[in-house]
Amino acid sequence: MKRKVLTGSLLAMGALLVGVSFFAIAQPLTVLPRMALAPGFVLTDQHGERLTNEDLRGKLVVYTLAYTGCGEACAPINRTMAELAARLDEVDTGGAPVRLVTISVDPERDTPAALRSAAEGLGADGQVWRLASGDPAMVRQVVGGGFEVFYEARDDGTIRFDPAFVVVDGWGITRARNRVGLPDVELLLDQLRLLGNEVRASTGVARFAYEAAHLFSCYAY
Amino acid sequence: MKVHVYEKAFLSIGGGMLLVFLGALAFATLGAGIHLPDRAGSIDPQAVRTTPPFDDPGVREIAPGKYEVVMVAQAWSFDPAEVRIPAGSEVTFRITSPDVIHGIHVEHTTINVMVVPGQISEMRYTFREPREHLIICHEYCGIGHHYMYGKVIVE
Amino acid sequence: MSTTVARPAVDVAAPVVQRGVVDDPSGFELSREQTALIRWNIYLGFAAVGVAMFHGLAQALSYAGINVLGWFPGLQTYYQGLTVHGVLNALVFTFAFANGFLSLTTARALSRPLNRWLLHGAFWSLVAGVVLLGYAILSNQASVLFTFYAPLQAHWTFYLGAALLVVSTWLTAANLFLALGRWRRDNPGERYPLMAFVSVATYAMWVIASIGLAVQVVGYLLPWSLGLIEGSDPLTMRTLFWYSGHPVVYFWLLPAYVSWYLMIPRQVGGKLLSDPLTRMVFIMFLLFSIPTGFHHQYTDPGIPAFMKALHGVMTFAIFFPSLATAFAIMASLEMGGRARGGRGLLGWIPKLPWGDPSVTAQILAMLTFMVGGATGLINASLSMNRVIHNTTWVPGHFHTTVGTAVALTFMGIAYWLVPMLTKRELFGRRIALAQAWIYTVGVLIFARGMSAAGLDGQPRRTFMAEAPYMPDAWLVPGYWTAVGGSLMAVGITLFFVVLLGTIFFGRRLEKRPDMPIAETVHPASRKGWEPILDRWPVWVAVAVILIVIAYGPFVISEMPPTLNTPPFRLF
Repeated sequence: MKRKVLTGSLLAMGALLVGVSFFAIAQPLTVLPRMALAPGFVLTDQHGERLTNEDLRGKLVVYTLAYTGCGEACAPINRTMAELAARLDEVDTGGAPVRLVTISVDPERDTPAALRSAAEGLGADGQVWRLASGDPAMVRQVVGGGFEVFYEARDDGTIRFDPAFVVVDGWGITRARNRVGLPDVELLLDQLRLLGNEVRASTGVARFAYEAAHLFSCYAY
Repeated sequence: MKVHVYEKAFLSIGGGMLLVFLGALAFATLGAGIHLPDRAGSIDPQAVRTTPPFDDPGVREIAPGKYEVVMVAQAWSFDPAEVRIPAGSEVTFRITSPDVIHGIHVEHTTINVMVVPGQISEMRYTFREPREHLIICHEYCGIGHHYMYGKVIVE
Repeated sequence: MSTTVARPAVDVAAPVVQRGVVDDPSGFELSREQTALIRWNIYLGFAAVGVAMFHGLAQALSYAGINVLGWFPGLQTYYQGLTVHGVLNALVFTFAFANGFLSLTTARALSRPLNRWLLHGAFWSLVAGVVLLGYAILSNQASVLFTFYAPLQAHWTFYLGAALLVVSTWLTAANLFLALGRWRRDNPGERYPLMAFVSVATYAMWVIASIGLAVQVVGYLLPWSLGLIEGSDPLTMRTLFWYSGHPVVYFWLLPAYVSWYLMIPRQVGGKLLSDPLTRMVFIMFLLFSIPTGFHHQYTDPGIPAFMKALHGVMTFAIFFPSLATAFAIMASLEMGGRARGGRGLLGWIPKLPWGDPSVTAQILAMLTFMVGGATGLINASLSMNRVIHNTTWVPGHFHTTVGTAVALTFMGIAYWLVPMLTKRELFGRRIALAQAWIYTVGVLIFARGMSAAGLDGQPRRTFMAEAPYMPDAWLVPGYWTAVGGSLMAVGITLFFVVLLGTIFFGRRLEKRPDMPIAETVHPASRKGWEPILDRWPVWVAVAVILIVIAYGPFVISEMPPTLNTPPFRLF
């Protein structure tokens, strides 16, 4: 009896070890890390409608920063967003909708009307891609305190800030911060694809495999 | 195998002690929130000076009471070498190196992190009391290593 | 020296039930050639210490603000000397001594000579390595310290020299494995003699552990220093280094454990408590030594915190066999003290052979190691590491471990080993005793200073005598460090008086003394579960699985390495 228990537990431990080492070596799936809770906010979009972080629950969101009076300086950021918006159907997100949000770092001047005319120029439809602004103190809290990106007005009226593309999942958890230089659209699509894999595996046994991938830090990047 | 009763007792107490220590560490990590540096992004070490945010290192107030220090650790100085912040500020350091491996230790704080070319080091600390802290490079980085230092001045 | 060289009378009538090393190999003696090679390994190791100690003294004085580098002819910078100190002490001394000492214990335990070509190969590759390293460092083309972190780039001879040091340990390992295999062929079904088992286990662990260093040096750094690869990946290089860099401390320590387990009991008149527990301790070192490297990289960016925590837990696991060792050795010492007439709870302690420098040095090494073990646990603690990482606390720690537990034990071993290898009586027993005490007191004062300054944030590996910053809090500890370091230098100098005195002036002995080998209270059994301890494939497989779990995810996420950091020569 005692011997059986011993053999059994040894076998179980052996199986566990083999399983774990398979996972560690083969890395059958990779994930994006769960970095931190994304900031909460109440902002206004280009149609004057309220946009909160709660509205974006259950959706995969790519946040970025820009402002309407920016001109050529923000063009690469806007181009990246526009290309991303156009290519979203390339990614299978497992049914989770994707939303793009450009937050203004010039809230004093970026009224809904200013945002609306900018959105028309960019082709932001207000459905998938929304431009948002709001109370300056709120924007400071979200962008500086939450996304940890610094911005300030220069003497000539332009705004100084570093580009950032933050990917947040349906639970409101930050999964990727692309803030060193300008990211490639391919990279952003790949990050959305990885989140999509997780969404598709969110029911059933596959869920445990993804949890294991998180536990063993099988990170894609 | 015969294990003497004293030996059993000694090993049990010793093993138990190690488990208690591990429990304390788990508490420090999960309960008290003392975290080790994690992944915080990579960067091309040859393009540090042209890649935002490291193209413009400095101290910035990102939100009321929250500061960001974007720092380049290079042979043999910190840029910026002087960080001035008011007491009570929560400061996030983002540091990288354009040349060799450096280290940064802000004296009498838990900011103690390696600066490895190609990697970005991120550390957070809340400076509560007004005082001066030395910033020391604590990894050998060449002949001028001991000249590499700076200051955090909490006002 | 009668206590250390005494041999039991060979009982001719007793049947040789098991080829025990203690009673047997009557009259077994290695050939002159093999003895000479082993002797020269030991000499080479101590010669390395003899050179390295000078800069050790300069470093200790530098912490007190005293710059003596002007007295060192040929030395261009502090960091050049620091490289000499680290490379010679941590790599050359320990490798040479282990190669010589564990070759001897294996041959003696198995009563069979070693392969002379492998023995020659190991010694001469070590010599070649030292020559190349010496050229690179002394010409100031390799002031990269013994951790040689890329992208600081040394001359290619430095990397080739380092690779040859590792090759010499591999050749020794091959020699020991070969001897053990041959013994197994001749003795099927027998248990391995304990002394051979622990010697081979040490090298088995190191062979697995040194792969990281080999890949790093031969795969990247050597071609990189020759210009064949343009860039390097500093984080991957660091990880490969520390994959080998933590287990190497056990490769330093385990030869000392071999002496503490198998020789010290005999030297004090006691016995080794348990054969199976001793084997289990060495197996635990084989299993847990390697998957712990990230605890040297707790503060590195780019490594997931979870993986660091996992290595932290493993590091605590590796403390356990040292706890078991503490008990077993204390038990042997107590048995010895009581056999020598000690009474009462602590009365056995003064009865230990304190007049024998070999015993005294090693007991003092053990006591100092208790400090080192405690400070080591602090280093391994994820949260406390943030306070002490890369401060002088760390050298304060490792001078009580490798700097004393290992180095002073090796000196203690030399007090019987050199007479055995040279057939000469130990010269200056009293000097040797003074050496052990002075060195121990010195290292404790030194470690007190280094630890205290480290807690106040003083950086390690920094030329403090010239640093433009020097808070008052570091001053008094700096004086402790300087005083302690000076005493250590005196201790080592006395050791060389004894060593050279023995080699040149020791009284010639008629007969070569044998090594002291302990008897075991609970010997090995051929029945039950115990023989599984001798099944190498099982333990090596478990060790590999643990390594894969600990390093697999990180290595895969880093592959292929981003070789985009250009080299720098800032010295």
